[in-house]
Amino acid sequence: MTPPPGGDNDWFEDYDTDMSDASGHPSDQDSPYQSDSDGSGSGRSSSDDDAGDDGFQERTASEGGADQYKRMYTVIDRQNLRRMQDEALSQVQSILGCSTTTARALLIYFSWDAEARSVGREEVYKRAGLVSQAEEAPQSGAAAAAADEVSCGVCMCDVPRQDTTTMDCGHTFCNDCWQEHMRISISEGMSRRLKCMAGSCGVVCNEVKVKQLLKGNKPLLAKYEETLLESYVDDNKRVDCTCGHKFCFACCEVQHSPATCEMYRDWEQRLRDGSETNSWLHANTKPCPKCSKPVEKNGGCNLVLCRCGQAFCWLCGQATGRAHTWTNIEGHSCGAYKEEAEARANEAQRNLKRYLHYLTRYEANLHAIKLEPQLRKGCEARVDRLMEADPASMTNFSWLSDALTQLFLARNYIFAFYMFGQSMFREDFTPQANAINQALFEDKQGQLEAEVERLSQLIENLEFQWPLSLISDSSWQGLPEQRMGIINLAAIIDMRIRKMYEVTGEGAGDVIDLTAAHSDDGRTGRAKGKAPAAAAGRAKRKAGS
Amino acid sequence: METSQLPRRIIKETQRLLSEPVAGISAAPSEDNLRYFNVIILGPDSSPYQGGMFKLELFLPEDYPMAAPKVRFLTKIYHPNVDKLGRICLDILKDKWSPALQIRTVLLSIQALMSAPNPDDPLDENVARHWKTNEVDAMNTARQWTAAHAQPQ
Repeated sequence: MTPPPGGDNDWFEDYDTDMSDASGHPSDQDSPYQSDSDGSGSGRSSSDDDAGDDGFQERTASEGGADQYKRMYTVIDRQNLRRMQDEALSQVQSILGCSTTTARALLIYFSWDAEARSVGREEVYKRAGLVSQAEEAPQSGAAAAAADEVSCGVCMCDVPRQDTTTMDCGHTFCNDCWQEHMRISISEGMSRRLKCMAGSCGVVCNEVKVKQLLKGNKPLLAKYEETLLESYVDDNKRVDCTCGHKFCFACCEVQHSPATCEMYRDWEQRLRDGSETNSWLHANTKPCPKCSKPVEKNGGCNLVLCRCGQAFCWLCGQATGRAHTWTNIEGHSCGAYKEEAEARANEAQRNLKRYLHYLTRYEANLHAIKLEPQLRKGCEARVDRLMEADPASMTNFSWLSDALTQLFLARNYIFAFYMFGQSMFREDFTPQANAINQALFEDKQGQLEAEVERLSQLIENLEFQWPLSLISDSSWQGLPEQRMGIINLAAIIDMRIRKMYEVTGEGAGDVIDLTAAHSDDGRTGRAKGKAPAAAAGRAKRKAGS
Repeated sequence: METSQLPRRIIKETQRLLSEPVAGISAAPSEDNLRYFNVIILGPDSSPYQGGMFKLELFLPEDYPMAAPKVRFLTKIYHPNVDKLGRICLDILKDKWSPALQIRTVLLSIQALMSAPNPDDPLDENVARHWKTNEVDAMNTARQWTAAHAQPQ
């Protein structure tokens, strides 16, 4: 791929069709990611500058909004990342006429959204931890300048002036203390906003001076520079690396949007530690008052006998004697209604039911995902065979690989929707609204699943309808019906995911209004028209937060 | 205990704490560990802690002054920003710590916190709720606790 005309920045902007970024400045939302952190990326992406552009492959979905789910991220090597960051910095510098440190601090503060810079300067400078040019530096530094020795306020030693450093805010401390402060701050991951040591000062350290101070400590300096670089790619999105690895940008786990990272963690936690077992025990058993083992009531009256021989009242859990009738336990009375305990048990039971429901589906889906590489292999073998037999027909098979890609993508999304479904519909809404939302969500999820299964089936059937022996025959004309079926189904699934995504929002922070999405059904034209506006709104919110 | 390993800053701070004590606060290093201080803060006037003598412990970690000292009330105190274990919710002991702050400033801040409890940023939920719903009653409890637990022996 050759770089598109119009300068270096243009390819970048192509990312985001709904951002009207007049400054040509990369916006934070779509900062591409450089995948070098595991050290394996550089081997894959080419390192020289010109060929580096080959690494940027871009496949922007045609519409904004819900299409974000499909947006491809690019792999950028370190060098290019640095170049892009420097461009952003120099742009801000040229506009504001400030130093690199100032520009970086501002951009970090505004999450690299150059548009947001324009608000009142004094306030912005202060909040971003900068000394405004208008403001005079505190006099302490200037006053002390006359003396040859400076008393460092941190180690309380008198040090020669040349062994001290004064930051932009005017606070002077000895170099040893600065170095120690930086060592600790950087190793604690505070490089991005390395603050002055003076109490309640909060001014960000000048990066030129930081680098000067860290000269003798190469690993630390490298870490500092690295974090500055990384601040540029801080983002929260699904990422597809060109190596095929897919992950969430924020937590580095498997992709799970629209379920948030928290939902994902919660889900994983449940899968791992079987905390639902506890939930089940809570809902269905009571601990024996003597041996504390959980006891399940398998029938009969409310006098329950534990295996250890202890009898207790099922209603209140208290130890009792064995003498009882169907309605009464001798010498025991616990008629008072314990509403709270009852409600807790009910809730646990409901939550468990929901979880098991989603878990079963999740596991079935997981099984399918494990089998699908085989499917892809089989399809590829067929296509290869066909291409060998008749090289002219090779272009005709993109529909099959597209459909396969769509199938995998859809499976992945179904996963995410399960996690989402498990975590949603609990609080925040009235029970009625919850019930409606859940029904609609599950209905949509069900439709999506059914279609994914159908697509899977259609592709699998090819194997039977399209035996390898036939393919060697160059006169084979393909299976027009199946082909159309698969193409259509893939398109429908794409539409459905987009709709689900539109509805669930990108993070569940948004209020979910499934009813609105439902009324939109069958009117895709309108939904499409709305999408860019929604995306722009989302972008704005992010910039603001 | 050998003083030669102790950073100069700690020595200087200790000397100054002993030679120029702050009103209502005394802090002295322990004999066997010069990073461990026994602290006494007198309850500030016109606070429910008035007349009380509050013992605290203060420890200077290895990274001090780059890391904040660790401070804890040893005397029971009814205060929304102090929990049952005596731990204190104070910003300069956490994220607002700066190496330019000192033992002296930390103890002054704690004294100020005793004068002006902040129930909006509580460490002990129950005490804070008490403080917010019925301040007079909460202050009474604090006074009772002071009388019961914070008297000089």
